[in-house]
Amino acid sequence: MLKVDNLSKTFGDFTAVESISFEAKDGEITGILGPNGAGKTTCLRILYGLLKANTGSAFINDIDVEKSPLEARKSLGIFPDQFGLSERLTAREQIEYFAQMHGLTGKPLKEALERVINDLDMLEIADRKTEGFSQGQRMKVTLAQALVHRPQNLVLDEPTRGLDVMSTRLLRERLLALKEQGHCILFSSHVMQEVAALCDKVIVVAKGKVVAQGSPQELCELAGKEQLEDAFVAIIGSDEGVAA
Amino acid sequence: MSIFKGLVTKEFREAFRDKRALMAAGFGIVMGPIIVAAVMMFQIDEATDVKDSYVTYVGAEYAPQLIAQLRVKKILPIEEVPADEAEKWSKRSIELTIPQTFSQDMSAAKPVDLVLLADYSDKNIGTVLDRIERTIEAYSGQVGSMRLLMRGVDPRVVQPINLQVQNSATPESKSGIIMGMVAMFIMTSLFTASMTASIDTSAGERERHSLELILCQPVSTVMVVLSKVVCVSAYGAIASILTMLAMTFTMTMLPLEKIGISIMVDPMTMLIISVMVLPLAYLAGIAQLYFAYQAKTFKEAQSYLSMILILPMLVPMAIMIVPHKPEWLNNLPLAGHSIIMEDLFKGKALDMMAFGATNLLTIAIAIAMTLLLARSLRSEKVVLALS
Repeated sequence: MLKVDNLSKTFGDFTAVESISFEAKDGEITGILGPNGAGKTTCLRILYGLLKANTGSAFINDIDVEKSPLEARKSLGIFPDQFGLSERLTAREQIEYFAQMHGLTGKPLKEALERVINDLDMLEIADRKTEGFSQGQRMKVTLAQALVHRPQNLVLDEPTRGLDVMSTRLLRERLLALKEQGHCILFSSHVMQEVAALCDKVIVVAKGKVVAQGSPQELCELAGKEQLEDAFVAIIGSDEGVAA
Repeated sequence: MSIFKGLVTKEFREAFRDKRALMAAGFGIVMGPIIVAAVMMFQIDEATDVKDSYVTYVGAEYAPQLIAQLRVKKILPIEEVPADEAEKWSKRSIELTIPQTFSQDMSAAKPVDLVLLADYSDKNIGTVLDRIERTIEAYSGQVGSMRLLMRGVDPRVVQPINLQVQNSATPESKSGIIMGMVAMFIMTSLFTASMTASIDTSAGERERHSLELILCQPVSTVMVVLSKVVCVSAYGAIASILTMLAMTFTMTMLPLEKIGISIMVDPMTMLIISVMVLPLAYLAGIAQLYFAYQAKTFKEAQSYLSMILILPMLVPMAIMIVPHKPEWLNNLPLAGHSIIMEDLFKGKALDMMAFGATNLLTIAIAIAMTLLLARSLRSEKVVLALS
């Protein structure tokens, strides 16, 4: 379970996030929807404990991230907005590195690696250096390193950006399977179809604030529109960033 | 502990697969011995071989005996210069003018003025000019003594004091400057070797967007920093020890005894230096990581670290020239290392106090920087490279 409560964050004079509160429950996929620069990534970075909020708190499984970041992160898997793979490591070494940071070692480590590599169908690329990987292959490695320690909570920051249809489908299937297993999934996006197809709950963020939240259906009703995209534009009051 | 092992493994895999970093380290290892060998060969050549020198004589015919004396000392008239050296010597233009009245004045026992015209600021001809002066003085002294003898006077009456110079320099102590140079190269190669690796794992990793995700994992920043510094220091220490071995090997190959230098490098000396290199590698590594992380980009980190690169030359030199310094300055990292290494190479016994103080001070500074860097990695400014 992930929860943020009354988060605010400023960089100098610029207010990136203002009094944001929401909750992502276990067994649900929660989407953060917002135009570019709405404060989605900043909000997630506070949730990871990377940035410190000016006000408010973030919780991972009821552990306050600011007070005990290392403990809180143990049940968190992160799929970041930039893949950032080490090009001199093979895919397996890259995933192993993240597994080890979560304390896996010896036989459980080996098993976890085998499992995640099989699950994501990446046996062919597992022992190749990540240099020269396609966007889809990079996505797999990144997803694998987020999932290798079987975190209860998974956060994805714009995961489908730059992916082809096959990779997007694979990602979507994985997320639905994880949801079935009772994991808590939070992902940020500005792609409407994706959010509409996947999310149980949508949090609409604009200019650093939560402007609406509910199921895709509820949002459409709230805005009096049939399509989520139209509802979104009506809710944030502009079409800024939607075309992306 | 297993988490730390994982972190270190990844650092080593990345760093030792980095061709650029390996090349930089190799360059440092090879460069020092080559430069030292070249300098030594040149010195040996200059010191042991008195070469023919060529002087333009004006009026040589007036003093044939003096000219013959100079010829014995390998100072020859410019007319005899071989073709391949002609240009060099005509440029150096050393000119000795002998007046027409030379033999007349000599017979009349009048003082004769010879004129030696040369550019005394030209270091290349310093020894030649010295030799010319000494030869002429000796000739003048000979003639003077003869005159006194002819008049029935013991020439010794005009030499009331005879200064006896006894040089206490031993072959070992003469090697000071060279040993200082060897120490400097051992330390410089340490810094060059770890520089590329440390930029890559810090500013480089941030630019590849890896750092942010690593810092979102359940590992403390102290552990992240330690894993990086272990790897970077290994780079430095290995390069430094290899440089020492290469240097020692080079020096045993050179005929240093010809210029009165002897070098003592026994296995014990090498072992002590290797032990001493470790704390220094730790300090160099953590300092490089620290400044590379403060930089906003890879390029900025490179320019910061190239400034650190001159420290192994600057610090020992600065400490050497500061007058009336407090004693503890001799134990500063780099300065202390340089002094101890120099002494060891000169064959002196190890100064345990200095060895302990220097290494403890080095480790203390390095630990402080480690904690400081671990703290700064919790600051968003450093993590996201905000200004």
